[in-house]
Amino acid sequence: MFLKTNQRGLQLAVFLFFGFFFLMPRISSAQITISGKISDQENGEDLFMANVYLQDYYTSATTNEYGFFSLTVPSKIKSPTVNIIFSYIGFKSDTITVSTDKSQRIDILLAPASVEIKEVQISAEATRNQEMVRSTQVGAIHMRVSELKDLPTIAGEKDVIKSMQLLPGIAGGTEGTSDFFVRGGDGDQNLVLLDEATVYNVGHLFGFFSVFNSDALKDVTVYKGGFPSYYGGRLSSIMDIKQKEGNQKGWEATGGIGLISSRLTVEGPLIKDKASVLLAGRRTYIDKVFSAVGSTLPYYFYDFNWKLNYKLNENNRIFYSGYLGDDVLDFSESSSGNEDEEENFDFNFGFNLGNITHTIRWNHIYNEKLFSNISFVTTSFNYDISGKIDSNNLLVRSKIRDYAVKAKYNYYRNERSTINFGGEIIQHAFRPNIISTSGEISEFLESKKGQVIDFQEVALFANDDYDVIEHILKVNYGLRFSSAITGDEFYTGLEPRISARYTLNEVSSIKASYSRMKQYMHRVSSSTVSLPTDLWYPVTGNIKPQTSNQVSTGYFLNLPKWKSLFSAEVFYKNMSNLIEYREGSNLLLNDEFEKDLVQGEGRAYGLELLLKKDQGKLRGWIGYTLSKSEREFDQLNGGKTFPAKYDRRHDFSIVASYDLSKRITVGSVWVYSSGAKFTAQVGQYFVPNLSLTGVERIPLYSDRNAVSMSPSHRLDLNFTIRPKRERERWHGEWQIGCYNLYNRATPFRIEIQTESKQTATGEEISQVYKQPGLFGFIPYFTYNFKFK
Amino acid sequence: MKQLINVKNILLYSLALVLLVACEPEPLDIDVPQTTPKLVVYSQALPDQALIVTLSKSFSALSAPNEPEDTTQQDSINNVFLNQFLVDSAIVTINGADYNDTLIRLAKGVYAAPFFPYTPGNSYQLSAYDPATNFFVTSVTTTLPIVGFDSISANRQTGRDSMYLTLDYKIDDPIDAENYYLINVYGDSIPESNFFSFTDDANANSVAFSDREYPKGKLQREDEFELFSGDSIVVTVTNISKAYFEYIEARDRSGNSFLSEPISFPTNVNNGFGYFNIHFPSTQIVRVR
Repeated sequence: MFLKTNQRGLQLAVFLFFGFFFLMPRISSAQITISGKISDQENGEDLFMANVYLQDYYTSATTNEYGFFSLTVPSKIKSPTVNIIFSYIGFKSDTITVSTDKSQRIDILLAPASVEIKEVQISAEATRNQEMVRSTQVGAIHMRVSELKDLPTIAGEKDVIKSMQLLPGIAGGTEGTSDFFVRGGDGDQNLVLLDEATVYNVGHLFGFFSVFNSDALKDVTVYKGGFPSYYGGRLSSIMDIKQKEGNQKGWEATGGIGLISSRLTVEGPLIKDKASVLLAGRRTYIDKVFSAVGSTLPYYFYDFNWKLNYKLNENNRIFYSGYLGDDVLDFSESSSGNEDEEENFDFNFGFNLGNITHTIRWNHIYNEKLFSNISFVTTSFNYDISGKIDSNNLLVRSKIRDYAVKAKYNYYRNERSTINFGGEIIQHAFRPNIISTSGEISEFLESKKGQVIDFQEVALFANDDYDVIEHILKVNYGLRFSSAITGDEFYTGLEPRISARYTLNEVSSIKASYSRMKQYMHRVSSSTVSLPTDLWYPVTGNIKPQTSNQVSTGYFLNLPKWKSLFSAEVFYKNMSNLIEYREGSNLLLNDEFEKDLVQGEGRAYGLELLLKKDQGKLRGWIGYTLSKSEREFDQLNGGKTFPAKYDRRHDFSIVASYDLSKRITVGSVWVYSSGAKFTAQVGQYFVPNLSLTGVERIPLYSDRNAVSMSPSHRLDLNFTIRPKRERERWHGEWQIGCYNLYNRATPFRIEIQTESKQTATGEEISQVYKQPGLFGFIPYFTYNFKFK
Repeated sequence: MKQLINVKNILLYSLALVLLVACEPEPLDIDVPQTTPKLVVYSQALPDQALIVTLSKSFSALSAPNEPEDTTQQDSINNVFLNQFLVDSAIVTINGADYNDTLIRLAKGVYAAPFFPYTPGNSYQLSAYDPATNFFVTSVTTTLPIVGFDSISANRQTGRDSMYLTLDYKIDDPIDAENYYLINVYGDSIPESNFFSFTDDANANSVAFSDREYPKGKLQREDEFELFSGDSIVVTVTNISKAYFEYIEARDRSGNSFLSEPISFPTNVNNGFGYFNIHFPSTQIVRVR
């Protein structure tokens, strides 16, 4: 009764909230406001975090994710006109003189800067760095995907997620996995959004490749701390990835032919300046390569991104975007017609893992001060594992379906205050471990439909970005109310968010933030390895929501002379109701997982240093993280505190691109990381079995995660070679490079291997500990092209 | 078209070449400190009120028996390997209110108290000292009341499943606290063995469970065992402590499977491993239908 009453009350509150703001009357004030959109002149793409500032006055604004800005002219300005400068990294700035007698709507098109116009780029970069110093945002990184183009990656495939892992505070998992770990958190504590749709599996081929085709992407923003109240649902990070909208000015095709896969993106106007489309596809052909050399690798992946964008009028725009991707493994072998019938067999093993997302979005500009984005989103994630031996068949299937409505409003109240508010409702449906068997195997493993788990998340949020002391102290304070309804359980949480910036001088500031986060769903993974087939589950009556509290503070320094930005941040995060498997749990097809889950506490703290330079011949960054992350569970490790698996004390990366000439750019990445932690077998003993009829060998393990694997370090190189003369419509370039130049193993586990050595007395066989790595030296070349 | 095919072939062979050139990195060595060797204690009370205590030593995770070319020799090689870790000359004593004595060496690593009193509720302390290694361990356990079968029947499945036997039984489950039980089933008689060797003809099964999911006082179960037998089987039921049950559960869960969680085993042996218990079984011979 209590639950039902609360549910009804919650639903009514949500309805009123949305209804009120949907029907909100026109808001205006006496102050003059200049508002509008900033877009790319060449293709019409909205520019996020473009800068808008009043020349000679210390007043500025930035565009939101949809290119919209609103700049209120301070009432103290008496001049009849003001100059407004619009700038964005990599684009020529634009200055417009506007009168201050009335509010105006100005839509700006910025032209990309050519390589020669360095002063413009430097000016834009200085402004972006300045904005980083001035904003209240701490623990956030924003990058345009195009900035990553010269960086080397595995097999030449640009990978947004792997590139983000080169920044301080974001650590990768083992090689070949798509998991990442932010500020000591776990792998399932990161929310990855593609055009606001949750992506549950972010790697093809178990993480070797990203699911994100970089040709279809525009920018990525990662929040490690100081989370805006708009975001929630995960403890450790939000990675918000936006697709391009599609060129509204002219048709173009972009693509690449690589050794592992090829890709093609076509985008263009359906109606010039009004409607555009983007279609991007990619497929690997490694299966064909193996066939060509007479072998078999029945695996491939493909993905497809699309976006339709329609401008109804100056104030309304509709977008429809989506993603479809699959990993397919299909291995068959059979033999028939043998004299000895026992030699006949029919074997098949298959695996299919995929995501599908759809996002319908509506941007609406109510007036010069109020902007909204309302989205309808679905996500579908499923995997099938199938096996067949003669007449025995096994199929294991798991599915997740999400349906969500999200609304976000930006209200630019005045020159000192911007209010964001909104809410979201997400309906999750889980169907884990649906098993279907036939043949003799069905006597050991019965078919089952699996549980149907429905749960809803509802959240409301609001925050104000407020200039407390003009130009000196700015505070962003907000609150998120979150809730989850599952079965008979109703969980709620208040998540205060606050961050502040104190300006020290023109070029530096200190910032601080506090965020409380709640997480109502979790992924159950082994402590030794995570797999894409790991299952997501919601909270239940027994499994409580995870919670984190994080404080961070940082020093930000703009170095205009060196066109660089330096930041130093320290953070402390505590986490409660973290989830692990009970010791000795068997994870395979374990449908009764809940009894095997235990909950405990965690904490992490550290220092992050970043020196970043985005312009000039030499570009890149140096990042360093010193951190510690530990856990405490009553039922694990005898209740003693133990290190988190990815408690890597030191993490260091040097990322650099250098223009050797107009034609050749060299990119390099060197990373060093302390070893991850591992629970190793460190002894064994024999003991009679329970019936005293035999012997069992019992392994003895170290304390949980007590053994540090060897540090890993790796150098990757990439050369981008452009033609001597650029053609007017066809642009091509070669990318030649290698991953792991000196072929050093990056350990992912510790195992006992048998080693044989020749000695004076003969062959000596011994058992030794070894740390295998997955990927050694891998050369690659790719031809990228763009056709207009 | 021909050009396209040529480009395709070039790409495919280039990738093949790259795959050949690409290197698998050499695994890195690492030195993992091994746990200090300790004495391992295990014990089992037998139906005729004898008590068996086995003693062995823990050893490095890097020790392993050789793999013979002839796999039928594996058991004997394993026994040779096992033998080096059995503790042969230890002094094992048990002290309690109604028993104070040194156990007799029965076989290598096996010590026995031929006549051990059954006194439920009594506590006993084990002390074991190995002069060869200077290892010394102690442990304390309490004897629980013997629990018997209220009823029991065994049915062999027919046809292709004839190796499977269904045991249907009811235990006199005391109504007070939560209780834990160990069932042992033997296809023939309880084998005479030295209790501590690799054998390839073991025909026995075990299952341990608690009464928490059953109505109090009425513990009725049906278990299926893979068991070869003649006309009859021998079944024992032992009332065990919760701590010993958790040790058995941990042993059941343990393994080197890639997908199993590492486990730290409970022990009641001070300065050692394993588990010391004196839980007397009740025995029943059951005809197989």
